[in-house]
Amino acid sequence: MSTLPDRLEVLQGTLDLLVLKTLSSLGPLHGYGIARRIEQVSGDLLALNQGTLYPALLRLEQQGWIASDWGVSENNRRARFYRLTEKGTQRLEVEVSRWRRISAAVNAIVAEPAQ
Amino acid sequence: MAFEWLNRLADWKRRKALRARLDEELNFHLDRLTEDFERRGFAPEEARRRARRELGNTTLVQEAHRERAGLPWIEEWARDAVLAVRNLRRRPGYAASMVGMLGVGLAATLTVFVLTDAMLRQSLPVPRPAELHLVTTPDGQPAWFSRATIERLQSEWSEGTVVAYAGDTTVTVQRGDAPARSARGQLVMGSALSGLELQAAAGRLLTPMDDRIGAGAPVAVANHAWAVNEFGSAAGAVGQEISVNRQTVQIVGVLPAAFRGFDGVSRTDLFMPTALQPLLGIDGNANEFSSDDRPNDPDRNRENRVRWLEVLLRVPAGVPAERVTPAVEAAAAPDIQDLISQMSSPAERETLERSTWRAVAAPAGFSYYRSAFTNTGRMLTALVVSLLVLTCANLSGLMLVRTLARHREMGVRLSLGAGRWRTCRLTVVEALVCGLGGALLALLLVQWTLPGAARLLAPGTDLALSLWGSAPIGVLVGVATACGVACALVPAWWLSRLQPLVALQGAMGTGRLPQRLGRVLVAVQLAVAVLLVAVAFSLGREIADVLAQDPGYDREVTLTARFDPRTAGYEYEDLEPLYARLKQAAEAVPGVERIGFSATGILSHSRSASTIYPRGEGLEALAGNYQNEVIDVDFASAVGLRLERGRWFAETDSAEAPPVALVSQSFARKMWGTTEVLGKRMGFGYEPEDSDLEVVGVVSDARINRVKEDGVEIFYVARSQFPAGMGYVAVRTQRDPAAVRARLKDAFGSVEPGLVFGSWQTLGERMESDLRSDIASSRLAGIVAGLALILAMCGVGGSLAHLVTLRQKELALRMALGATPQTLLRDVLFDGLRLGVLGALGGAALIGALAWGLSLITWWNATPSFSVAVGAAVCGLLAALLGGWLPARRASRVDPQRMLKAD
Repeated sequence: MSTLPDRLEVLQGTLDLLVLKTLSSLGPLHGYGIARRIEQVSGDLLALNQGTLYPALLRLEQQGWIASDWGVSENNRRARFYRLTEKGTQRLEVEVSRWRRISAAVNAIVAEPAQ
Repeated sequence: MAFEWLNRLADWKRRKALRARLDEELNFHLDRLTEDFERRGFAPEEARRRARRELGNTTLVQEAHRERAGLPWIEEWARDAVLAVRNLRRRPGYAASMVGMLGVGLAATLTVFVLTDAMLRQSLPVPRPAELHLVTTPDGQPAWFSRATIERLQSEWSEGTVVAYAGDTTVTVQRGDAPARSARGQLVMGSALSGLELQAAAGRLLTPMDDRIGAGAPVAVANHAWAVNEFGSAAGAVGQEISVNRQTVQIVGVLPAAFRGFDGVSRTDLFMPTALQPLLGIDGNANEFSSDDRPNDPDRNRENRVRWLEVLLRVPAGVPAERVTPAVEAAAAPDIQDLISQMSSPAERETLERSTWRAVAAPAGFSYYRSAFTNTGRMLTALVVSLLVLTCANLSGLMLVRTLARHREMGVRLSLGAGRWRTCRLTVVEALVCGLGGALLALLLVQWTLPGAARLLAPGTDLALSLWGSAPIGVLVGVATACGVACALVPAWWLSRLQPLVALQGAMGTGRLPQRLGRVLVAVQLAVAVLLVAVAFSLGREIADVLAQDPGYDREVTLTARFDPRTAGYEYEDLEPLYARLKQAAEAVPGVERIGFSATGILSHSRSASTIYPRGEGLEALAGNYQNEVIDVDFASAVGLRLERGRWFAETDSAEAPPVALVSQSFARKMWGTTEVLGKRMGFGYEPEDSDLEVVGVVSDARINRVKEDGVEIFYVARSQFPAGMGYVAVRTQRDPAAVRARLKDAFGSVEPGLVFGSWQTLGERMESDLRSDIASSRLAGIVAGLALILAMCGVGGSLAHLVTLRQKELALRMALGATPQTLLRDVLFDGLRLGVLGALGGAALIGALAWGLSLITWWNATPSFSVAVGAAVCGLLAALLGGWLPARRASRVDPQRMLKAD
């Protein structure tokens, strides 16, 4: 939530990874649930513009990485639930591996002592 | 990637549903966020406000989602198309010119495509036509086999189906007491139609049981269109009895509407079993009408030595076509040996021993029309491509002029931030919209003109013309798109170089290049127009030359007709009285001078040939199959054949007198060179006999088979000595033969109501009919050339009009400084003349290239000559001058004061 002043913007290009990982961990979730989960897991450090999530979800669906169906939410309302597909699971592995390589590289650069 | 685009396409189709889904999801999200804030102690309004802030700008979200759920490029092109339509509507004259010109070009393309497709490419409408193979001689003509060979092939070759049939022919059909009429009939083996896997539209197909001599009542299967025309419906024809060549035949079935005949091009009305051949007396090869030793012998068509059936073999997938030839050779071997044993000529025996065949894939069957149309098809395609090039050059110039005139508007657009690519794309889209309009216009034009074009260019055929199939529409859309893009290339290129600020100041900023380019386009149009005019001139002159030559007979005073007493059921002994009655009836008609008969006639598209052996030392090598004609004593004088030396046939050349012959000059030259031929002898057998013919006269060469033949090697024999059935009547009249045509028809009809006379034509009409395809091509070339000249004229006019518009200030200044209107008129006209000269030179170069290219191919005769090239160039120059006249007049009427004030 926006109560913390020093929240970080989601890095460009990492939204796919965050959504796929969230769905992989929790199973089918609606958009609100995904947004909340990302913020909660990041300890409210990541500030997600929640509206941008929906075009991203449609894109992931068009790529075949996630699928969606109508379902009933915790408060008995109709909501669209997204779930990971088999193709999405494979993609998640690729995204995780890539993130690890990038973050390791960035860490290595940051950790390098000043000359 | 492809998967993603497929999904995007699917989402684009259901984009409204996706939009509703997003709205519902956003509402749900907003409500849940509001609830969260309320739980944390915020008042409902404040909670809602904070939730909205958290969710962000929903309009932007919806926009991003819509973009993702749609296909932006399609929508952009659709928006451009709407804009292009609006632009075109603002300038109806320009739009009409674009659409009209493209429509004419595309209509010509579509007509030629549909005709050539129907003539050359359409398969027989049977299952798996690709499996059909025609057995041919090595030179590609269909091979003929005896019935015995076919039966052996059917029993021994188990890998496919054998479909055998005779060539189709004219039969005389009568229903009840109605007048006799002609129809096309064909004898087929009982298994032929089922071998093609056809299904009867009504009744049943023929069976092998129907094809047994004495099997029962004669039966026939009818063509669908013929049955509907005769009996009102396919089902109504089944069970009906008709008289075919005076034999009662019952129609047992009707073929599907799509199947018109074995060659896929011409229509056959009745298909009958080959067992009916002796009864019907058709197919002379299997039943010599004049052969008094075996007239209408029922077993004749079973003889091994009579080869009269063509064969289509169905070679199923997986069976190599190469296996066919050995099977055919094995089946035909006994017949060939039988034939060889009957021959006395070593040369003929050797030829027959070397007999070989091959199976060629023939999914469209075999048609003599098809090979005749190939050259016409090539020429039409070349004409159409030229016309399209010219149209594109013209429209490209027109678009360039219009785009140049809009340079200020374009400058404003670009300055306001319109993308350069988008601006160029708009031009392309505008051209494509015109292309689409042209395509629709072309469809209307072709729908209207196609039957006439088919009659003109492919006479005697019954083509299945499918305008609405996927192939014609695909070609139309493809060519329309290509033309649209081609027209827009030059204007789009200019737009890509336009500097907005310079354009805003009223200049084009690209120097004189666009104008030069426009002039080049006009010169290209003129050059192509000059080329087309030259082609049309050449074709027309060739036909005029051919018609101007002496054909060797009197074309103006002779009326001719075809008839066939065999198909009308006349017996051999009936013939002499028949000819006498016809002669008497004709001579009673005022204006008739003489009447003669012959077996095949002049320009009748039928001929007779026989092996002939000239007698004399060293002449064996000249023995061969030569054309012959049986004529009565009056025929030569009736048609006006010229005797070079010797004598005509006379009443004294009776059956008891020594046989005599007349020979054509070419025949005489071929056989005996420059030596005197009168008194020379020749015979039908290898050894000299008493019945050998003695040459008693030499007839000048005449154009007997084709108007465009140089000299036919033909010999004539007398009907009194060789009793062949006559099939051609020639009536010489004192004045215009067309005037006595109706009375002659009535006279013949009254004395012989059961005999059908067809093709009533004067010899002049026969000549024109023979050249019909050439005349049609020439007329078409003339029309295309005329269109090309008009288009080029428009191109010159448009280009010069633009020039005048761009130079108005300069012209006004010149007039203010003392230039006269005449000077300006002369200058602009001179400009048009320069374009004309450029186009004429380009056209001359193209004509030279064409003449050189055509000298490399054998099928083209009408090579443009120097005088034709000059004539065409003059036409191009005149077109340029005429096109430049209006703009020049406009230039000379510029009001200098008004123009200078406006500046």
